[in-house]
This record gives sequence, C-alpha cells and structure tokens, in this order.
Amino acid sequence: MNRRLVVAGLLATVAAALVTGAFVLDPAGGGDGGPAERDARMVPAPGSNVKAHGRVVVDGATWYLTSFEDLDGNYCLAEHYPGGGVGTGCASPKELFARSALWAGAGSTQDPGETGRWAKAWVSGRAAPVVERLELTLSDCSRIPVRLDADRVFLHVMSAEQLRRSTLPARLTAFGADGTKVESLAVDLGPSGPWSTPFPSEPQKPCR
Amino acid sequence: MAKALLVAIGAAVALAVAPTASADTLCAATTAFTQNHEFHFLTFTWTYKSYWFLGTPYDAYRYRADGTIAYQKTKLSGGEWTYTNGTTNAWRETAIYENDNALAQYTMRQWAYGGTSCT
Repeated sequence: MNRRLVVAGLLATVAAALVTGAFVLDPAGGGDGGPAERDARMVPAPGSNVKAHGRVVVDGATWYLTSFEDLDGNYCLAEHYPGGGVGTGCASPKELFARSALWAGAGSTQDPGETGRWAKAWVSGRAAPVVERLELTLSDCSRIPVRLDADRVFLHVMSAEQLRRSTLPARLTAFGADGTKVESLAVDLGPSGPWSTPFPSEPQKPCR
Repeated sequence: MAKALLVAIGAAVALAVAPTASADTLCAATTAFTQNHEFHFLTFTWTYKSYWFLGTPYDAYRYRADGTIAYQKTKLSGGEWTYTNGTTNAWRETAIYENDNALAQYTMRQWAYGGTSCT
C-alpha cells in the first residue's frame, strides 16, 4: 500500500510538472531573456516595513507613495494613483544612487480623446543623504520647492490648472546642506508617440 | 497499479488547475535592443499589468486605441518599472522610448489579469 502511494506520488509530481510546465516554473510565461520574472518579485518581502509617504490631494484626488523591501532585498517605491493604478520601481541599495543623487522619475497621463495635452503630471522619487533641499523648475521657469520627508522621499503632482497653462515639469535640482547644487536632472515627459505632436517640457530659453 | 495511476492523474489535475487559475495571462513580451531614441511597441491586448526594463533613461507608455496616453512614466536613471491598474483589464498597448543614444537591451511584457483572455 505504502509502495503504491509512493509510486502515485512520484507519478503525480512528474505529471503535474508536465501539465503545468511553464505556469509553475515560469508564472509570467517569460523566458525571453529579460530579467527573470522580476515583475513577480517586486512585492513586499514577508515582514518588510511598508511605509506610506507623500500623501497629497490634488484636484480632489489623493496620491501617495509606499516604500518597501522586495523579495530580492531591493528598495522599492510604489506610486498609488487615484482610481487604483499603481506604478512600482525597485533598485538594489548599490544601484539606488550609483548614477545620481536623485533616484527619480516623472509621470503623466492624457484623458481619452485629448492627444494635445497632459491631464496630469507628477515627479517622485528618493534623494541621496547628501541632498538637503529639492526644487522643481517648470517650463515657464518658475520654481517650486519639493518637500522631502524624513526618508528623503518626495512626490509632487501638477494640478489641472497648472497644466492648462501648459506648464510642465522641466528640471529637478537638488541642493546640499551648504546650498550648493549637487544634482540637476532635466525632466522631459517625452514624445507622445507617432500619433500626436510632442510635448517639449524644456524651456525654450535657459531659465535664470 | 491502475489505481495508483488514477490517483496520480487526479493529483496532477488538481495541482495543474490551482496555479493556472490564479496565474496572470502573458499577452505579449519582447526582449531586444534599442538605440538612438527609438520607440518600440507591443500589441494591443486586454491588459492590466505592464513591465519595462532598460538600463538607460527611458519613457514607459501604455496607449489607448485612440492613440492617447493612458500612462507615461519617465525613468530618469533607467531600471525596472511596473504598472498595474488594479485587477481590471483595459485595451492597452505597452511601449518604450529610449531617452538616450546608447545601444541597450530592453524588456517589455504585458499581462491580462488572472486566467482571463488577452483578446
């Protein structure tokens, strides 16, 4: 009897492996040479401290960030958008500030049928310990202080009114404790694609 | 022995159904090279999650069928990014645009939620 159960167990294991194949071993069905199923591992590790940051209400809608350590020990920052969308990026502690004092990005969205303009735009990220103050220069050369929280995480969302004036994020500038500039990153929201006109956000003339 | 085989088949089916019932459906995927501010696209499918990776600065996109951008993310230092609109599939095309001239390898994938169809 026990022998039969052992045989059945072995057969079940082999059959399950054959039947499920890629689904069990490769849930994303990848195998295309890219980073091995990283998308499935960009989630909080068991026991990871999921911390909320930068809650802002813009045009009546709430935006916020969460930070956590993922299943591979990377630092992750997730953007939580009104309506339930979530964007997540992760980097190893070694990679985080390897290229820049700002681990940062920008985002934007259009309303359906409105190819000519952005409906929302935002910047977010985390600053290296050397950064004391952060400033966002807009495409009209106006400057907005961007608040860094205790973990040097930041989120700034442009209101619909700002975007109606065709004002877009153009540059993120980081300053050290002594006021010196430690980083300056151009923020170009990028071309909108082959179907519509581009959205250059860099000012036509250099800002003073 | 026949009984053992039946038990084995039953167990295999049970094991097979469980993971596939909850696994997302991969709708489109690519890993290739990009250079000189090129755009690259996946196809339109019923999509709830997209994944991008490029080691150089890039823009990640999800387009609607009318050509508008449902979602755009600029990664100033490159790296990986995912976007999910909760558990709801929407008719989306995932795209990537390299904000650089360097020859670099990118990856994009897009999924339908759970075992739902991409089409």
